[in-house]
Amino acid sequence: MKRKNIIYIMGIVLAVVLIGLFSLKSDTEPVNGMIIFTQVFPGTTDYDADKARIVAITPENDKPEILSEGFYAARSPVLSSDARYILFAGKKTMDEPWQIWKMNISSNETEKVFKCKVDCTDPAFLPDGQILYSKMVNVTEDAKGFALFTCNSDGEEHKQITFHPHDDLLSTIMQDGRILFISKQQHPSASTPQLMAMRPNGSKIRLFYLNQNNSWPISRGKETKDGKMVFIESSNANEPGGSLVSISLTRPLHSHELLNNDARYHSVYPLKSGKMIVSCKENNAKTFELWEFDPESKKREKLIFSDPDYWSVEPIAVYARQRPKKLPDELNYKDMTGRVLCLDANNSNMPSLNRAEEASKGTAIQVMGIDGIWGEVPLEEDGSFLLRVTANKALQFRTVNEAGEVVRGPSAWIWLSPHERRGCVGCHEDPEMTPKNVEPMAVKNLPVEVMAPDTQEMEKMNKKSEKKG
Amino acid sequence: MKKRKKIFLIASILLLIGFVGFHGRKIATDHVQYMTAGEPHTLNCFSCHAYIVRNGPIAKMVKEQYLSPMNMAVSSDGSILYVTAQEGNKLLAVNTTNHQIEYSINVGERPHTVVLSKNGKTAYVSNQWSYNIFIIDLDKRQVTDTLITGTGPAGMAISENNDYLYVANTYSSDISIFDLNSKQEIRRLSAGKDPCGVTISPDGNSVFVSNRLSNKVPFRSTPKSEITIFGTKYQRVTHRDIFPSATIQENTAITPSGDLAIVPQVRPKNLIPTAQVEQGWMMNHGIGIIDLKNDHKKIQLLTDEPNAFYADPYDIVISPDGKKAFISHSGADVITVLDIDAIRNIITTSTDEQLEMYSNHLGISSQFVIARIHTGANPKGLVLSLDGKILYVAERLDDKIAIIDTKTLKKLESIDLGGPGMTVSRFGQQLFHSSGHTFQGQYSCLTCHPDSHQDGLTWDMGPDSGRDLANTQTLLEIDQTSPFKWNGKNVSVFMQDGMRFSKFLTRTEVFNQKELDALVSYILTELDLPPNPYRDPSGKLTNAQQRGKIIYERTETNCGRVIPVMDRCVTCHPAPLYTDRRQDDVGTRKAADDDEVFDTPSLNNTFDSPPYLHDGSAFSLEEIWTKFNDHDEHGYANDMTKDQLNDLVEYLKSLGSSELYTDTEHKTTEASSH
Repeated sequence: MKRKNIIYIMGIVLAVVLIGLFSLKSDTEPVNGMIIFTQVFPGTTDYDADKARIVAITPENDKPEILSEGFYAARSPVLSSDARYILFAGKKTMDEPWQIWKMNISSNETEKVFKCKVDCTDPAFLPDGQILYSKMVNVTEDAKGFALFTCNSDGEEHKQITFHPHDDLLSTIMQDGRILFISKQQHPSASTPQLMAMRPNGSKIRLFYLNQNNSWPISRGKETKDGKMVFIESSNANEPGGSLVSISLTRPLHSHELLNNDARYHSVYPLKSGKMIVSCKENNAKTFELWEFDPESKKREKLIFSDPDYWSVEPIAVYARQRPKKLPDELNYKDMTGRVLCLDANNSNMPSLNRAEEASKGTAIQVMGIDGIWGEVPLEEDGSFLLRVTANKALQFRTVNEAGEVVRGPSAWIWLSPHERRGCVGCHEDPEMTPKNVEPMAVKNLPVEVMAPDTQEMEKMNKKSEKKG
Repeated sequence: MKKRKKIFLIASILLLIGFVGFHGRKIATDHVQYMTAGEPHTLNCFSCHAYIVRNGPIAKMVKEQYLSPMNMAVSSDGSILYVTAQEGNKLLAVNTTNHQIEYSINVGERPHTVVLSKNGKTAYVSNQWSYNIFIIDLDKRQVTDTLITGTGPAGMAISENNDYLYVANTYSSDISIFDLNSKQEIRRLSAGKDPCGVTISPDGNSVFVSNRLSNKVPFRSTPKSEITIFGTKYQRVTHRDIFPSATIQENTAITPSGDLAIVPQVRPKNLIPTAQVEQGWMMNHGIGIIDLKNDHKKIQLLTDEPNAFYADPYDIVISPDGKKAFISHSGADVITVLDIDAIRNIITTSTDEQLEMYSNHLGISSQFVIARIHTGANPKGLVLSLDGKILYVAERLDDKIAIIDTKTLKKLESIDLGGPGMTVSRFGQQLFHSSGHTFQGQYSCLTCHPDSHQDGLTWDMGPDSGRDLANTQTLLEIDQTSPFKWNGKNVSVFMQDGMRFSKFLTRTEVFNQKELDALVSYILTELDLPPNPYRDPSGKLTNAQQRGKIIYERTETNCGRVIPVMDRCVTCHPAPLYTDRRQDDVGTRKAADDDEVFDTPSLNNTFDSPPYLHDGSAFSLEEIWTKFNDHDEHGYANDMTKDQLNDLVEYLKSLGSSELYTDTEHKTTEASSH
């Protein structure tokens, strides 16, 4: 081979290597030290308002760079574990519903994850690469609310994963792999928002945190390195922001700690150092500012950013974090039923409905859907029951006595995912109770089938068509 | 190069090209996916054909001799920490000032516990697999005498007057009492199942022996584990205190005031369908308390929290002032610190109904747990310095001893005992003993497989509640006994511990390839059966065993009729594995079983695996034929006399692995497996 050709080939190889290295660097390096946040106009209690924008500051440049250039409005940024991408809700025009967008932080390149005909918001990265988001749906025939959905990273294969008549918003992914979100019952009446936890396939939904003192969570929870969940809690729906609080991940229902309420807090994000960035507005101040907060002294220490023209909220400190665990999916989507085992339906924290003692023991369980009662099943002597119910349909339980009178209930709304197996110690029992190691009588028989009316109709129709066939 | 070599080389290259070119990769991939439940992964040939071949060249090459510190004792002047190195078969003397090993003494196989005489001049080391105690003169630094015990000697204690040594024999489930003057065993007391820890009350009048496994209980009823208590004066059992729904009671501690005996326990949920892990649905951990001043009233409290579980509690010590107790959680790599006054307060201010409720309450620990201190891998034995200021923790799978300040409750440092670097199998051993790979750390492999064996429990693990109950099987020496699971559906341990394991058991992220390789390597190459006490080391059978062997291998009934081949014991259970590795219907299927056939289990060391049958419905070997073989489907047996059945059982008890790994037998095994 001629020398000229050799040099030519080597040059090409070198160029390819350099281009590869360059593109690799620009695509993979997280931008450490950057803080990304949302800016909204002052006085807006609902930052759904016009022209919210996502901006970034860096240690070198505290003048905010607008990341959501070209968007009519953008908000709710969340960071991937490797700190290379954010997901956010954005709309290009005023009339467009909120869409889910993904942005490469280094290059500012954005792509719409999928096209949504209704509002889709509050996205999050799931550990297996899927994307979680809230989408407006009909939670009953008359009411709308947000349900949680997942889709692949390419925006395909959407799955609804919550099915109760609630508003489910502001999700975060815990290190144990579960989704934590704020859930507010919409039907039959509105109730106090609470934090719920479940697996990313929508199974094993459980109450995580509920404030008994008429306060409720209003921001995404953020997990700290020392095993706590920090978030903002409010008792006043008419005023933006609230108190900065933490709960222990190991015992969330009974570990509430007020970190600070000397200002109105909007959102919080843990820093690598163990400190936090908070978005807060001092009393009488006009704007929400970004501060560094020390959870040990429970004090704000350093002003990071302030803009008199905008509220600065939803901060994100850009650094790579450990990826949460990928929980396995044991569901079988060909089986559109789930099984629920209750060890003792009479084990309950709910008050009995003023029945005389002899009538206060439930002898049967009624399964209720949004549209009415699905069926009634006698309890075993030990109070246990084992049911096979329609999957992905909201349901409640209540106990009735021998006279057919309601003893307790209805319970909170739950649903069973396809092929899910779920266990309950009681009906609205103390959620910190763990099962007693006694074989429940109900497992000695096959599960009793209680199907949603439309499923029953469908099965009847199927049987009819089979006969005709 | 010789012509033959050239041809061989060319043929090899052609074969390789052919293999790669003609779908070889696909064949290999299909093979691997079949062996691992069809989940996409990147296991390579080495995974199955190198690391996991017991006694294979690579397994041998990468094998290391670890120390694995287990239990400890402090010298009377506090200057030396004596440490049993369980896998190093040594007693180590560690200087507590400069943290150096002053000397080590070779002891028997699997040393478990070391105790010191009151004058500190003599050490007693229990050799769990040698079935004896070594008496060591610490001045001369040599073994001076041996005491023969029951099988599996573990925990020990010396009487106040230094006259008696009390030994828990784990495998024979009894307690040896030695007169240390005559060096004779003067009494053997029956214990519960698998006694382990021995503790003397502060007044010296009583000895508490904690038992790991449940006593025999009716099928599908709550397991009940015992604390055996005997008096030192008459050396007779005075109490058999039972804790319901408790297992793995390894050690007991008694408060200096003598009012409470506290035993860490696992609280299994084996009677409930394993529908979920959330809410402590599968395994809890806590303490059992015997209120010694209140008629031995039993109380149980959980040390777990609603979203955090502290698996595999092992040892417990109480500070000299009686204020704090320390528990090692060997699966969670944590020391839990308990406030004993807070525990007393719960006991005295609660009604019986409340205490019953607390026994299954995950929030109660917040009232008496002061701290959780993180340690190295697999914390086991604990010992306090004489002044109680320092807690030493055996970080067994790190070959280290942690030093914890009992005032600040912080780990100060670890003494490195100088074990070898990490091998594939050692990494697997750490994974096996860690609860970090189950959801919320609720259990490790060890929790259901203490000593890698079995917990004696039947679990409701089928896909449908109340169906396909499964008796926990041993993991010892299973390398040639595939397939696995009672239904024989898992053709390899890779399949057993892969994605299905993650979906249905650990309920958290699946092991990655490196972890799975390591775990399988550990399970298949490192887990040996202990010596079979029913088998003479020479291989000679007793008369009863010889008679039993004849029955085992018989071809004719007592009436002289030919027994069909498939109805003979030896057909399905041929030596040396004593399994044909097939699945059969032997008439043991119950109404709750969806599986029609069951995997034929190996019978090696079967004496130590009660209960029996796939669902654990047979209490004993005898019951297999007296209760569950009405139609002779599980071997032709109903013609046997009681004496013949006894002989058969005696022979079965003698079956062990001693003949498995000799060269000739190994070849036989390999041949039979193809």
